[in-house]
Amino acid sequence: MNLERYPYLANNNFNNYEFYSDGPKGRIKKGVRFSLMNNEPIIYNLAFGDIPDGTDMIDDAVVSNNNDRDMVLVTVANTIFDFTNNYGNHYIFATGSTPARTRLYQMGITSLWNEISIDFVVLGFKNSSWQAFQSNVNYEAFLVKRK
Amino acid sequence: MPAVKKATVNEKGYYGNAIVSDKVKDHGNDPFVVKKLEEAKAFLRKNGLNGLPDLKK
Repeated sequence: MNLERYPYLANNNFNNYEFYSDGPKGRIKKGVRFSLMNNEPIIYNLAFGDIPDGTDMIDDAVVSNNNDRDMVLVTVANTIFDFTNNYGNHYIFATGSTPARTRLYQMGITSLWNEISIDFVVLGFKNSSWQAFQSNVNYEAFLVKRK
Repeated sequence: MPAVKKATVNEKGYYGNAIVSDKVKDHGNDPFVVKKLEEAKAFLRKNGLNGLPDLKK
């Protein structure tokens, strides 16, 4: 993905990532954690959110609105490259904590689709099945895999 | 922290440029992460993988 992103850090196991969002609300620490959620097929859950000052814990209850949604999404997408480089090319499950947050993710994917679709297969869950991502459809959850 | 304009391809031929740091803690036991994982597992138990291509890959 040849898009602007933030620099990001990983722990030694490459399953935890942190970076800072910079925008009108200031410098906001973000965290990404990949966790195994299914063995056959192997699927990892992606948890993403802010790390509020003084907590050192990921929490997505905060709506930071730092005017950099796409750049944050590109950064999170880049962590998938690092993660799968180390854990294998498996599906990554992602959904928002609320339907509104899931919709926000969808808008971000749509906005960056020309670039995202080069590197990733994205499936959305709707009407009881997983389907190829379409920008005009609201999904309940997403599965992402590198091509 | 300055923005990085473009991702580059690493020595493995893949994108991804994480800087390894021992300052990054393991968030696996963060309540939000644990909750999200349990919700994700429940979603999969309830809805399954119908429609998913190349299941065995």
